[in-house]
Amino acid sequence: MSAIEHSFQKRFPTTSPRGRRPVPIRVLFALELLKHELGASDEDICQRLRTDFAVMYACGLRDYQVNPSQAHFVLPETLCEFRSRIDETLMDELIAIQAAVAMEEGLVSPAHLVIDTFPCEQGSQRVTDATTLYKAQKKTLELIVRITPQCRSRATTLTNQAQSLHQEIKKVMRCFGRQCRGQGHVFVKLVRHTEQKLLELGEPITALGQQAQQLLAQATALSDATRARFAEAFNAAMHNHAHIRQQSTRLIQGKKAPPL
Amino acid sequence: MSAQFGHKPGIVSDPATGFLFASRVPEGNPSDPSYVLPLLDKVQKAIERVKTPQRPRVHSLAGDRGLNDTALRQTLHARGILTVGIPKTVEPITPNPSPEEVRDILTEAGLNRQRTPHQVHLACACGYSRPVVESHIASLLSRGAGQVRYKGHPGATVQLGMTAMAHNGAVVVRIRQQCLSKRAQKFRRLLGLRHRKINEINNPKN
Repeated sequence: MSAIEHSFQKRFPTTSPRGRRPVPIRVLFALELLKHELGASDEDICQRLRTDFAVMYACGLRDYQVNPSQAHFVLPETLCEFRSRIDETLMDELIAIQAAVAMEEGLVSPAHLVIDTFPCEQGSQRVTDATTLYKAQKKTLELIVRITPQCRSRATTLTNQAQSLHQEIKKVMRCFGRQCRGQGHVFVKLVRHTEQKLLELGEPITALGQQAQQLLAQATALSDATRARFAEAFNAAMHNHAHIRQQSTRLIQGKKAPPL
Repeated sequence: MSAQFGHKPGIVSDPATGFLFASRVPEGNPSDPSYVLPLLDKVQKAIERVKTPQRPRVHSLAGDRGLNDTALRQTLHARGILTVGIPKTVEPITPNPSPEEVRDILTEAGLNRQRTPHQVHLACACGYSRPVVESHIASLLSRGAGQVRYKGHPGATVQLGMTAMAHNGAVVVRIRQQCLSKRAQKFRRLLGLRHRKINEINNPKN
């Protein structure tokens, strides 16, 4: 563990002694390993660190509620941040350290090796009605954010509104993802609840889209071809959004989706 | 290649215990022989970290018929590594080669003065075995390596790396507790790996 800590210290040196003490590398590293060993999500493992003595012990925390660095309280975001700092080189180094220690202790030998490959799939997004609605909303907002600054230099209000709305709906989807991971299943009730929230939050999207369309129609800085291309993309996004929004509204009211 | 189609990680492990020495998640879907040398380089880096006076060395390498490549074999022989564990045909590898066969293997590899007949015997016994490799892969899959949950290629590298480390931790615990198969115990004995009786007091009783 000291070799791993040294490796991290070398790569990410402490530049200033000020500020809150960091969560020890050992705790974060142990949590990451335990996460895979127990098949838990970030939130689950961070919660277990607070409540499960076995997890605390595995993280090297022998005392409870006396550690001034508050290592018992690791947020899932901290774990995510820690993970994002690990790149391929560091990961190889960590495995090499582990293998070297095992070889030094005479536990394993690299004399005879076997190589093989195996396929693994990229985790797919949950395809639910809520995700479809989110994607439609996201696409429209992204178009607004991309197109409006090109139409007029002082369209910041509209852009800011679209950006903040995008952030809000992103939060809802993150919350949905966490709830699904926590329960291990996607429940219809959860999907409908998320859809309801997205519909409520996404109400201004139609108005924002119309404003953006007006701006686009008045934009003289753009060439005709560009304007036509943007207008086509916008119309398609708005049409899809309206259609999916209508479907979701029916679904949350307990009605069946209309036939395609 | 886009990440939406998944990844094809490569692993290099000890056939006896299943300890993973290195893993690699390449971008795209390269050929199997292209995995070998980068993985061996990673193993070599791990060996260089060992501080014992006698540094371990790689004697042989096994793999499926996907690795049956003449250029690769020559490169491995040049590194002093036996390739008897990589089958050339669908016929199974002879686990107990005769002295003549051993001599032929060493002559073909040009490793007469580097590798001993004992090492050739062990290499043949450690030849590619699908159930053995499958057990290592199954252990990784049970720890979530089958579906990459982190984003993109860097995410896949981190997830597989962490899974490999968690797997290695479990292997080390199994070795310490002597929870190994008879085959693994025999291999360890033949490789001269000692079992340290950490739970027993070795002091004289009187």
